[in-house]
Amino acid sequence: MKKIIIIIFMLGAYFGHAQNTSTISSTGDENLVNTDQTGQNISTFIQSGNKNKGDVDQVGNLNIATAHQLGNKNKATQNQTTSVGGMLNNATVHQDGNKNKSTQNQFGNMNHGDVHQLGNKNKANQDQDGDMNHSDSHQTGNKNKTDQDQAGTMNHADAIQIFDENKATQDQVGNDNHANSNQVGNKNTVTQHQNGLSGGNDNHAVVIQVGDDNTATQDQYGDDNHANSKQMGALNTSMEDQDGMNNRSRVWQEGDMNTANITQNGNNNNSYGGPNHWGG
Amino acid sequence: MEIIIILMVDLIIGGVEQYGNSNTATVLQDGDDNKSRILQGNLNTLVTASGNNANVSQVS
Repeated sequence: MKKIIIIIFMLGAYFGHAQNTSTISSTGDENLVNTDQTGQNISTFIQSGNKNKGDVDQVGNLNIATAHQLGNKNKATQNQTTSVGGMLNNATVHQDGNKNKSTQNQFGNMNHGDVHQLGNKNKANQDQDGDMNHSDSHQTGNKNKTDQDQAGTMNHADAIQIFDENKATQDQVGNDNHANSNQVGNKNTVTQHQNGLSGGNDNHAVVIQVGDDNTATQDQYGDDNHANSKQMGALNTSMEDQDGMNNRSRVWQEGDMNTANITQNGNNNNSYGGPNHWGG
Repeated sequence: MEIIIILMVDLIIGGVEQYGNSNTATVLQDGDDNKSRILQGNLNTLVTASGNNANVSQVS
């Protein structure tokens, strides 16, 4: 006996907004989707398997959320609100496997969020407050975790994790900051913080880790700082801390159990090869 | 089937580079317009601290 539970609240008619559209397809047993929309929202939610859960809450003028869940006991939560007169937050989730979980919260206009999880027990959280923030999370494997938190305008963050138990944390406050994390292996960790007392603008942070048990931390406070870390091997540690303006830091470690700590306080400090040697 | 392509960009020599095992490099640059470049093999340890307009370089 298949049981399909669909709950749809269409509040737009009560408040005089244009028609909302919600499409839900659940195949399997004990799946649950709850969609709550006010304004010109569009939501498409497709589930196949058992005991999957979905919760979509959209307020504003044209939010779009799309979710696909294939497997068992996956959970997707999508909350979007545009600011005054705003148009278009967009959130997409694709989860294929079992017990994956994703949460997307977006406030502002033209925010974008994208989560792809393939495997089991992966977890992704995306919080964006501002305009034209953009964050992507792609995880393939098991027990990977991504946390992306952005406030400001035109920030960008993306994380790719392949294999098991990798973790990426990306926090950005300010404008035009960019954070990129790529991890291939097991139990690698990336932490990227970019902000400042006045918001922090135009900072760039890039991490590539290939192997197991590597850790990279990048903290940047101020404007126009660049940090780049690349680690290939096992048990390597990289820490880059920059406070000021126009600092450059670069770490490249190949092998095992290497440690690099770079702290730069001030302006125009340079711990890498040359002014043009930057990919971020 | 999901295909993910990672662009391995920025293959440039510079900054702190460590090739081998058990290396440790600590760079502290507190001031303005400092530069450092560290290249290490195996079992090396380096600690630097700079003021302004300093230039630190080690190859070992």
